[in-house]
Amino acid sequence: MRSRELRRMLRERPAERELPARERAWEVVRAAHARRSPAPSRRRSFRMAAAGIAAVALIGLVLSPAGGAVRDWVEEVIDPGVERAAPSLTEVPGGGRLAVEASDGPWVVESDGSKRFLGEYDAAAWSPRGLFLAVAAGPSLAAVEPDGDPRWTIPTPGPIRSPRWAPTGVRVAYLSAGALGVVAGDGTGDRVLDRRVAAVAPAWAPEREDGSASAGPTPAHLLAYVDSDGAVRLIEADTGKERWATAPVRERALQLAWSSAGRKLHLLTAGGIRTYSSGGREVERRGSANGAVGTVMSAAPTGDAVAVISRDPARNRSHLSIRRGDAERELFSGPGRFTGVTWSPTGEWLLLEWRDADQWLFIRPASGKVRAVSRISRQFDLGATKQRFPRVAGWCC
Amino acid sequence: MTATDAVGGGRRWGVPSEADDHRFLGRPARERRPLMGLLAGERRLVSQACEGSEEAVERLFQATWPQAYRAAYLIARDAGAAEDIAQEAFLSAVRALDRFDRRRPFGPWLRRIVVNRAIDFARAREIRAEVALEGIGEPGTDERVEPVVSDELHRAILGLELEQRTCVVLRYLLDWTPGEIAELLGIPRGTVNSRLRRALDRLAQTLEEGGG
Repeated sequence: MRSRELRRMLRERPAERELPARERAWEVVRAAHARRSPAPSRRRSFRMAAAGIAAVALIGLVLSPAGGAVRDWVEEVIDPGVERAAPSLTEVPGGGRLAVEASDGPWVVESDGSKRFLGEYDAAAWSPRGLFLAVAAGPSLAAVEPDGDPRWTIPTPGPIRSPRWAPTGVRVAYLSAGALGVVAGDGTGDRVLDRRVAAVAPAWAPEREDGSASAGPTPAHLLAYVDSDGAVRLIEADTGKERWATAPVRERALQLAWSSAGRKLHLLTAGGIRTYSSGGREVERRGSANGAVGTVMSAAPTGDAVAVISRDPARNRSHLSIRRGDAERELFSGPGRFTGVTWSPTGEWLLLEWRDADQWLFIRPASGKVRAVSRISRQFDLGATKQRFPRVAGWCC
Repeated sequence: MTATDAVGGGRRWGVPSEADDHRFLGRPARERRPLMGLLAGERRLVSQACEGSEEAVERLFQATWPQAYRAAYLIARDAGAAEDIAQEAFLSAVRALDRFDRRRPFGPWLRRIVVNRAIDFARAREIRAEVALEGIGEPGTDERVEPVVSDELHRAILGLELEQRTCVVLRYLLDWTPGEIAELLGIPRGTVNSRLRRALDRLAQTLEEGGG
């Protein structure tokens, strides 16, 4: 076959179902374009000048002593990661589905590795049984089905951060414009619970099988959060009544997580982990060890184990450990940054996000077995100009 | 959960003529490289689309869709996946219009996204098929079923191995040079050329046997 003939035929012949697919796609693209507001035209000279200034600034930064960190980052990005990593995500070990926040918006990854882009949203959180996802849609909160079909949308005072679905499935908490809000699972009854909170995701207390929240006898829907002064508070979301509050914590709060049975509430700060009883009493405090600072934690869905990522900036090395009470066991360490860790629904697997190797590692804590998947960024890349490493927002049933 | 669906409406839209497809793309082989006038027209359309012109978006879409869809289809070997991949690429492009560097050609940028996603899809599917076959020994999983394709040439290309058909699509549908293909796939240029040679031989043989 001659190449010119092949080229001509490929250009002239439509593929199977090309025309109806074009109709459907154009309708979706047209609607997406209609939703965006027109941007003012830009001058090329301004862009070129800005690009030039940025380039000069970057060169200066990299060559300066302080630019060492930038150089380090550039070097980190090419870290080889785990050898013999799979080139594509072809299954989710242990089953279940992932909600993934990527540059263009959230995705749902099915257990067979197939992916679906949910739409132009900024964050995502599973409902307890995986029937819906709460997503941030600019200055509004929405609930969508896993195939992307929206169910409801409510306006909010500002951009949404950290939506969190209650274990009962009938409340969704969220942060917006520095306030903590809550809305019913069907999109009704939206209200503000606290107008001055820290940028830390709120954490719902786990529910007992009888439907009551385990952090107290009654009622359910207990929500822990950090206020703008750094105090941890536990409130009844339905009434707004406060159960308890700690003294302000001086170190910057990063994350809250309940133990699976709701007996302990962990607070990760820049200085270590503080653990509170369900009644608000501080029962444990662990500082940073060996120069490594905790950056992310994830409480196991069963038992009292907590997976903790810590980073040693002096050595440019990250560590993943499992903590149970006083005992701590390192599972994995590597150069560069680990950016997230998530337990599987059964607690048999951990998913470690290794940004600087562009890999996800599925790790069995029981055996230490590691299954690596590489080229993660590319698998969730739809061409956004501003890239961020895909983040697992939830691993659902 | 008692909420009602917030979206609805049909998906009907007038089918553009085939001639529309070739406003940008149906040039003879020797003219296949982007022309300056063509690029200028594309830049103008991108600017107009940024300023809200639906007509500009439509012209960009119509000009770019055939190659994007066909590339995704021939690499992924799945019409549904091709539609998803091409549509998501366009949605991404619409969202990124304000940030798009208008000095870059729009079509190649979008098609590169499509190709990357289609290759990932095809690789993932092949691996899943291998796992299924190795794991429980089921003969003929869905993954190995050949798609029903009426076009003889497309059927022949779909019969090639992933590595060969990717090279064919990039070289003869999208007009990439062997060097560009080598860079994308991370293989030597000579390997690209040998895959193209074997693919052409195989296509010629298949079409000959089929009476084409």
